[in-house]
Amino acid sequence: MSEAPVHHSRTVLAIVLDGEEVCGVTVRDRSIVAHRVFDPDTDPSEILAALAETADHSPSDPVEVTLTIGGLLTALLSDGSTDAGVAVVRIVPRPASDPRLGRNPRPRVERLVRNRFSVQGGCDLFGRPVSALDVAGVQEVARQVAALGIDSIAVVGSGSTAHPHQERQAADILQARCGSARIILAGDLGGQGFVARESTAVHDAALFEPVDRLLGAWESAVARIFPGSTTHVARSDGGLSTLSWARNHPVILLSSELSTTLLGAAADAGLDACRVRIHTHSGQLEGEVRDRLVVVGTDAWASLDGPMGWDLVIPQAELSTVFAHPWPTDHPDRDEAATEAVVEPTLHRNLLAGLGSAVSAPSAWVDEVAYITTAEQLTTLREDVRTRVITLATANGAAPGSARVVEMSAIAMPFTPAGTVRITARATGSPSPGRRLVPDTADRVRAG
Amino acid sequence: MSPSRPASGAQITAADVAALYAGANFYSPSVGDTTRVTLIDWLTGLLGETGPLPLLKPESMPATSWCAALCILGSGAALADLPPAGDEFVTAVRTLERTIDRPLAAVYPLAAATVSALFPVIAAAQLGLPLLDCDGMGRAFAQINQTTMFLAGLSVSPAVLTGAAGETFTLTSPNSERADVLSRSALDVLGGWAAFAAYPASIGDTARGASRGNVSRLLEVGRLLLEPMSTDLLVNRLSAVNATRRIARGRIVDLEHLTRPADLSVPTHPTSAVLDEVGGAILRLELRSEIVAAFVDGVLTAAAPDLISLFDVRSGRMAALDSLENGDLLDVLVTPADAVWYSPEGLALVGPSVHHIPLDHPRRR
Repeated sequence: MSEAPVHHSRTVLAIVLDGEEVCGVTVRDRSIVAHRVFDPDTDPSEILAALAETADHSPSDPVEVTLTIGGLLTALLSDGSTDAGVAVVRIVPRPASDPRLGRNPRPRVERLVRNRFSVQGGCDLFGRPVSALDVAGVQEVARQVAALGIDSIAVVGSGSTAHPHQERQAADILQARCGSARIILAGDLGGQGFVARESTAVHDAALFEPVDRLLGAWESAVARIFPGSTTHVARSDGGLSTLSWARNHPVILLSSELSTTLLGAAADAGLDACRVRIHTHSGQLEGEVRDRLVVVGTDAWASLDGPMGWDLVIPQAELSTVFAHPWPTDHPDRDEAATEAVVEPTLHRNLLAGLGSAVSAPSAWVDEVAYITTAEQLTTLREDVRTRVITLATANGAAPGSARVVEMSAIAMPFTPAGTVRITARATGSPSPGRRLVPDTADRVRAG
Repeated sequence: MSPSRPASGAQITAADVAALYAGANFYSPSVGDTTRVTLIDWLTGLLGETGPLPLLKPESMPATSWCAALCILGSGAALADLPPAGDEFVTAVRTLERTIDRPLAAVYPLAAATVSALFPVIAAAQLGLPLLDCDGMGRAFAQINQTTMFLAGLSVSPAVLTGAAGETFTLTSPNSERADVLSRSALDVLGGWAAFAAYPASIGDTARGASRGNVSRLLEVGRLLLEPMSTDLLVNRLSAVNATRRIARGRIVDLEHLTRPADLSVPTHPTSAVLDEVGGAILRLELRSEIVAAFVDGVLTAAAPDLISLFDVRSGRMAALDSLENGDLLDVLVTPADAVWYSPEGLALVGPSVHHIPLDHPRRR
């Protein structure tokens, strides 16, 4: 069993961007000591300088900066500024015979798509080829994409989590023809389900340019105002990531403001575990914090419709409809109900999100399907996943040696050949204070 | 070939699709939400185009006309990763018609549960055939011969499997257990799932073998699950429809694998989930593709063919088996199966002994 991460006394400047305002929150020892609100167009350097004054911060001490931009990304996706920019290349055995199956069922994803292409190929859940890749077909798609001048391409192949070779082969052909186009491979993001992987890859492609620009501006500002300081960005699971990893895969930042709001509400209430009621685009919802971590799932919002309906392979806060299934006061397990705290926060959501990011830590997530035939193989698999998720958490900014696995689950998959397991793992560690981590290896590590 | 549609009577409309999906989740705890939005979008659009689908009692159709049972063979996870082109069931049914050299007048779900509750509706709409309000399992068992039709003497084959690549296997075997084994070998190369059309028979014979009314029941349960209500009220209302009862509420504290001897040619290896029950008892759930047994403090309290399902108290949704995690707070619900499953022949086919649990079913003690 790994030791618990050490939580240093830290001064954190937490910046929350939601498209309507920039909220700067100064946090020390899990408490808000100051905050200021800025116009959304305010220069990052100006914001940091102003926060430095309110933080009463010693210039000799390194400061940590966290950015929570999930709200801003949702606003960007809603206002149309990211629409119709992505070419989607599906690699499947046959094109859809029904047009409804040839597109993404979520209109919010389809809005981001400029053109769709389907080429023959595809693998099964275990990565075994069902159909060979139609290389000539990919070359023709590359010609058309180049002619259209599209510079953002999402490639999604069936079975690519287990074996991404067809996606990579297609990407090589596309890159050769389309020059500087940004190509996202869905298999690099891991996760289960073709549609969810496609949704994730399309969002990743659509968000790349604005997130790259935004994080670049903040990175420069932090380097200028607080040289040598650490900067992290909040992830969808409520954990933190380095800017370099987030710029490569901006989709991991979506809905981060909701997860950090849950964490912030728990911290503000002085609780390590509680239910938290928050207001969202879909009304009042309830999430959960356990052991200072947000309860998350990779298909957490797939059951929701409307604005919150989303099929993504990234872990997001599990949210449920408040009051749909309350604890009855006369229920036999009322003792447990009575001891479980339900927090209804009163602070503004951006203050909570800032506090939540400040008390958070670098994290990582792995979600895979594997095949075992003996208990020994399962043990080996668990160790392999444990090592990889810790490596990913370290790549995401955890201080070396601090990362530990906090959740791991392996469960047999129904109606699959005996021995098929879905294994998920989550790791977290202490932020590295006072210096930046730019893990070049992160680009080559899948998932995370 | 399409029969004339009745002017009145039960039917499935686009507005029923969400309830159909929710009900399908109840009758098998093995469906996550990875295909939810795709299937709902597809079927809703399809029914919007074709109009309401007649849902007919088998006895309302000519007994000498023929029908077949349809299901997705394989796993929902495989289907989610290798999406259908959309014409797989049409190909499978047309191939089966050619094989038996007669047209089909109706189709029905082999198992009114999981995604296999939705695809027969999609297929019927595509084919212009009515759907019979019956099925062969009343939930989802793992093997294609574990049906009430098999118990009634109907043969699985001739049967047809069509995969996502458009490839088709036609299967003929006088032995329905062998048909299951053979079909799994085919599945392995088709991509992990296939559109499956089987049990071709006259509607008269099917009416005598299949479990009737299970599509209607599934829709009714689905509508209940979509209504916001307290867990207690939900269980009470499920009880009225299904005789469902809650045997425990508890938090998962352990998940273990390969916990029992098993025939590994059968899908999904044995797994156990241990729940710390609110109230102090220890609940142990034995899992394969379904929950096959529940022990409370070591006493077998429920077992297949009982439908044992898990309701996530926090999310207010059915819990999928492949998404269970330590810490989940679950209500364990037990719903009795069709009476035929508790007969000696039924228990021999799907009871605890099939899962290497050498104990009498609680109903037989």
